[in-house]
Amino acid sequence: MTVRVVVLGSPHGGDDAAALLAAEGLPLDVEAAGRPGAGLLDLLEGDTPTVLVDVVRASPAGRVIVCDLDGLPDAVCGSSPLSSHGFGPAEALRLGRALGRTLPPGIFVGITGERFGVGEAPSPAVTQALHALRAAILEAAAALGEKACTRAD
Amino acid sequence: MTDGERTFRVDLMTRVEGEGRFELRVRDGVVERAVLSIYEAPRFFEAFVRGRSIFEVPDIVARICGICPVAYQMSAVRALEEALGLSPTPTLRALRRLFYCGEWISSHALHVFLLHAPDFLGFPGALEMAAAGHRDLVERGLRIKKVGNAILERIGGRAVHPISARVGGFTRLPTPAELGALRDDVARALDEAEIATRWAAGLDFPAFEQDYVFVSLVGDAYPLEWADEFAVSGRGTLPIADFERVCVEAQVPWSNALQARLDDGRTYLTGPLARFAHNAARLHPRAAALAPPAPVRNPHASIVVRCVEIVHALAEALDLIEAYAPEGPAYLEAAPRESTGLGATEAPRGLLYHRYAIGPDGLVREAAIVPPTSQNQARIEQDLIGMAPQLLTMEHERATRLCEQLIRAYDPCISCATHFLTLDIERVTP
Repeated sequence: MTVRVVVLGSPHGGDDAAALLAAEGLPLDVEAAGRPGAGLLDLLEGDTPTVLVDVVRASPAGRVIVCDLDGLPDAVCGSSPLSSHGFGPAEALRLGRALGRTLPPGIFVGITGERFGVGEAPSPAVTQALHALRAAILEAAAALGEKACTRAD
Repeated sequence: MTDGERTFRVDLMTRVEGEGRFELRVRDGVVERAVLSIYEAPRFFEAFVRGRSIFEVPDIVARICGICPVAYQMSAVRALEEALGLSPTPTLRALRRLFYCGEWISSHALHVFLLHAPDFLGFPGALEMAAAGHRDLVERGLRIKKVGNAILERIGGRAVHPISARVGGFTRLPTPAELGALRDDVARALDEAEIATRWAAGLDFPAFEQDYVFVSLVGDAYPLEWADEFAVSGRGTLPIADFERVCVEAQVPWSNALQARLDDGRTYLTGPLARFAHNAARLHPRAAALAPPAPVRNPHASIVVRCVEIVHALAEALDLIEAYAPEGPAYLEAAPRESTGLGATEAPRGLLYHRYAIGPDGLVREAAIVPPTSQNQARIEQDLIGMAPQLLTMEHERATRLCEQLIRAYDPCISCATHFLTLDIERVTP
């Protein structure tokens, strides 16, 4: 079974670009989804194993966080959402839970960030941690069935 | 707080796009201060596009807003094509209108079902509303929104910050089969939107009728992606070229967004209520059948008009998909020339005006972008003042909540409003 990697964030928002940068060139089925808000629920329909990658607004920057997708709403509860209208991934998943929706098997891989100005570069701490984030994504994908999802080429 | 003084304040508004606060201070029954303060950092998009190729502009301005990027793209291409002397083909016009319908459906569904509905049903948010027995309502909203997103993805490549719009047309035209695959989902969503409109019409709205000056585009069709004129209540119809003369932006010290007023100093309203007031007769028959009498002057009842506009956009989308038979190229080309072009479209939140001066090298010399939320900001503050007598009779928490609900009824997009070029704050010492 293939594994999908859903990457959230904006390339123009400082540390918000971290997930995109880390996923660049990964030999996996990567979907850059921007900041989908409640639309994240649509992206997580079906039962394809999914690695969800995003930035969490928290200090210190550059810390990699890994948890089950099911546990994300509780794990990052109280952190500041980065998505539109207050609907970050955790809020979207909490809404999904309230609606009785089931999630695909999945792992959330996040990195803490603290610089989000438009046009800013990622912070040094996040830049230095990109390789760790990338390794965590690959490890999560492997745990969900990496061999089947790696591109033939 | 002194005797006779009451302050209603929310420091971080929820269920709006971006970061803002409001404060209403009343002393002895007299309003001393009413401000909608937008403190989200200014983002200088008008400066970003200076010196950039006109062909980069649609992708740059789309980044102003993740909710209504198509509106920014369509106002930009309309203005830039006017500067180049390009007239899009009927196929391109139809495809752009369908593209715009997708954005209206998605944006309005988000606001109606996830942001605004909890105010009327007594919940702090959609999550609590869904958990307390309104799961079907939320799911209906998500299904309608998903159809809007599907239209955006099919034409634009992706729902957020689509990538296919360009000066002259699109990078490629979808095939009739690609669009036709959306037909059944659009038809089902249309049926659901009609049910939702009847539900919204039955809600109880706080009494708050206002004598608005409505400003919206007008034309042969209900205004979305194309119009050459705009209407101002009491002043008739004016050419778009008069927009900056009639609707004047100014800096206020308490906000990072410019505020617009009419040239006579009055506030005005743009958005669904204004469009509906000037264009109710141009609604699609399926939307007109559900529409309340025009005009609607209670901002809380804007949820009904948004539902009517969702029905309109879905009905138009269905017609456009069924009639789609592409002819001509995906995009038109023209040599750059020194000129200025302007254009306006109706973003979900209201009239969105763009003007660009370009050089013979095809680079942008100057840009002006006037988004809906900055136009409505002064009117929202006036509404807060108007509500003061009512608020003073209420328990404090309830009154504060009502203020927030009023502002939310406008569906303000604070991120859009903080795009502007210069930040000249005049500090006034009392």
